[in-house]
Amino acid sequence: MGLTLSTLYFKKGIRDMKKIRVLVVDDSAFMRKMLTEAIESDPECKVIKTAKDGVGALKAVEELRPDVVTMDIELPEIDGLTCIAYIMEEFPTPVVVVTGFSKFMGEETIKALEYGAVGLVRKPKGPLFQSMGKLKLELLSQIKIASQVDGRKLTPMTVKEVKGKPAKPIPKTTNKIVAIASSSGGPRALSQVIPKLPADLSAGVLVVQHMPAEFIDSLAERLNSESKLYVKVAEHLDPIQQGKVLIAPANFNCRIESKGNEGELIKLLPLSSEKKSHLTSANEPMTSLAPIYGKNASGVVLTGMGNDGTEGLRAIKGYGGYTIAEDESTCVVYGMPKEAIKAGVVDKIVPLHEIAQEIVRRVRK
Amino acid sequence: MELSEYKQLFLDEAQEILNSSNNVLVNLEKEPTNMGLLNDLFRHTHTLKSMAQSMGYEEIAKLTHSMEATLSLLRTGTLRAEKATVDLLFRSLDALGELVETVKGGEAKKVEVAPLVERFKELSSIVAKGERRPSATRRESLKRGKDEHAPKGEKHGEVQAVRVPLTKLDNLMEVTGELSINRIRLVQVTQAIENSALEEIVAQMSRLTSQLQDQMMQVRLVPLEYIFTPYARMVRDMAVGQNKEVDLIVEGSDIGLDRSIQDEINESLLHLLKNAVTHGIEEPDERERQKKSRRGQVKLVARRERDFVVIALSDDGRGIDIEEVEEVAIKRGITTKEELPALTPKEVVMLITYPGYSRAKKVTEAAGRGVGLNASRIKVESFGGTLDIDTRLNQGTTFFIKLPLTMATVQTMLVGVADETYCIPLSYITETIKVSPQEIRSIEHNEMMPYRDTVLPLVRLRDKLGFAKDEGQMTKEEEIVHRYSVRGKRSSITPHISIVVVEAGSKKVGLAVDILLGQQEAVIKPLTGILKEIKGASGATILGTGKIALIVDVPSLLN
Repeated sequence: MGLTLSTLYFKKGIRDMKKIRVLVVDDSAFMRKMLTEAIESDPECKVIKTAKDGVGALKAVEELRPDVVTMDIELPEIDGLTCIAYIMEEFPTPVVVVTGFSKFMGEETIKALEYGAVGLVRKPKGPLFQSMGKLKLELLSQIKIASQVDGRKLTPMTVKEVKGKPAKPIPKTTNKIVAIASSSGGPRALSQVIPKLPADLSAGVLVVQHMPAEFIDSLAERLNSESKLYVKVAEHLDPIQQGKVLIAPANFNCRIESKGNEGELIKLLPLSSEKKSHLTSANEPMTSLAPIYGKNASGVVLTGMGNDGTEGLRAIKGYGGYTIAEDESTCVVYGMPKEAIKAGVVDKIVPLHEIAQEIVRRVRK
Repeated sequence: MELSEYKQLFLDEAQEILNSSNNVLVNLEKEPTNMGLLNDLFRHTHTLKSMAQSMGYEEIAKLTHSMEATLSLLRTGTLRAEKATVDLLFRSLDALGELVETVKGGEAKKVEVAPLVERFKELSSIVAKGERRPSATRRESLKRGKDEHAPKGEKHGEVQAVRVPLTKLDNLMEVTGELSINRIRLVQVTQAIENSALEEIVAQMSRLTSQLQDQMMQVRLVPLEYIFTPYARMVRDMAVGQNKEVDLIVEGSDIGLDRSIQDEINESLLHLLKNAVTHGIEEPDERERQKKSRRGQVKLVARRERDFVVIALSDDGRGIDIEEVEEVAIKRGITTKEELPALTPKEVVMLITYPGYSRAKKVTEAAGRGVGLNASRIKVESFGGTLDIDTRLNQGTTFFIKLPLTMATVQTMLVGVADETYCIPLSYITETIKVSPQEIRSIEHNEMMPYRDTVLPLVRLRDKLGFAKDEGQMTKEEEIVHRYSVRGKRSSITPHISIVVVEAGSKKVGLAVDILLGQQEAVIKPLTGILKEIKGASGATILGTGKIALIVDVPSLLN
């Protein structure tokens, strides 16, 4: 049906068809207006409907089949999280979570991403003209990425709820490292990789996930609660140790340095303010760790927009390390892995559910 | 992008959010653990925060952020929605209201957000401290070489308090009540059997039952904050509605009082509060003329006096004008010009608690319906409490409400009327006397009897309870006397009438009953449903014999 309609419209040459049709869900009229104005400031995007609660949102998704949904988490009656889970199950549609940041909602936000939301935008801080500017910048880029997502890849994934806290291994020094680059769709992908890594993995793990700074802590907490390894946000001069997964904080340049006998540690340098809009790059730590670890380094590029990680993998591969890219079949956004593969710097291409296994195989070697 | 458009949208929605938040909070106060309410309040707060942030309204964003932090602790159950917390949230909503008003550009009082934010921080830190304690054991386990992320050990801290639904408590109280009644029956039966071993056991059991009942009553005592909490908001709202400036100061809200008494007394206190704001506190301009501060003060102070709780409600307003009271009381037919000189000033003031007294020229929404004060006094007295008034012209008025700690059991005098047994709470009884029928004088259909060196109105309980005055039938008293005389002890006693002298408020009457049957501790059961309508009865109790007796509602009999 959808196809026939599209074809029809296409034949008629209606320009509107090229526009990204967005459904805006927010319980605040103020926010709905702001989001609509931000979205429609881009000629490529169009708000087809706004919904003020979960019931309205689900109805609109079913009836209008929008290209992208912007979703607030705190909604009356049916909350945003439930909506996302339902949408992914019934009418897989890319969802961009738009939420006011609150550290008390961090877990829910990360869960939303695990359930299949592909984008995350933080409601902006004023004054109004400034917030509008920020909102346009972030929201539009997320909506555009989301619009390229293949809905069929959004099938829900079972997120394992870990009951109680498993005993974590005691971190100890290692001469091996695994560096992972991840962007759009990443939190969901990471939830299928990090928890599957065994407690005795004899390598340190470093993850660069592109996401707003405020949510990184929540991502680490969430992954930590699901994983056998100890997951935390990297702090300046944190040592690279086995049994520990470090997540690079946003807005920092992150490098790995060797301290000789004392092992390797991470150095964090704040991004200059004009670079702040750019997120932490995975290339930096990957290229800095490659010469230190040599063949004991592994680089992984997961789902995401753009080409971050390609340079990093090139360095790792160049120094004798091993490089892995997520297969197109499972990538929510097939951008970063595609670029890396195209550049010829990838040793092995595997679907998401085999990535952890592939890492373990390589590290044990 | 039109700034004014967004601003208007912000104002409208913020007002809406604050309104629903207030309602949610009022409900939350009643059901502090209701997840739905907590979620709603969190969502409202969060939405307002996001909006304020987008507009760049720092103060609102700051305050809502602090509220969010506390609400999140409430949501996870880490923190309980205690009075202090709920109060703080109320105050914050008020502050937000003012801040929104400021955005509107209207005249709003200056709001200091920092102290509120600080209080929220304190709340969170108390919780944090509470949580930190068990980690001492965690640190120890670390020393022993365990990883810091090892599962937390079970908390072995002693449980200091458990939360029990009030209905369960009521049920427990009920069973305890039944037990006491059975105890009384058991004692009576035992006395008849005359077995010393049995008597000993029964005596011991009696003691334990009393202890159980005592403990139960302690449990039933709920801090007065149970009813006090919403008053601040109410007083504020009333004051705002009347363009007055009023502060409510509450002290002693941690003092415990039987929950059912609180439930019953709440309405009366609300009425007195309304009176204080509406009639007591003057308009700011007038206060200034009186050389008082523009802000009026209403004080609600509770303190414990042995087995009573005294609630003093005072205002620093205009006080009660005694001359005006006299004038109104005469006009409304409560008293007469002739009676007035006999009354002490205190008694004159008490006239305002009489039925029909109303000084309000027009009935405002808040107060002035005339029935309120009277109803309040009757209510207070129906628990064996008292209502007193102390007033000074232009300095203010204080209402003293003295209430028994608990009303679950009362000492009563059992009396017989027309073959039925009734209980009169001892707290109303001054003494019991006997008068001979010849001494009773009838003045305009009202009977009077001599009492000490004065006379008292005589009320025949038989009439009041609607029993026919059967001339042919002897009263029990007469019957007994008659029986005695039949046995040959030809006595010279003329059949005296048993009188129970009762006093409630400032009224004292002699209550004529057929027979005095003795004293008994009675477990009061409230009358429900259709029985509630019974006039002259405030409750019922089960007697040692298993029969049911009504409790005589003395205050209502006197009015």
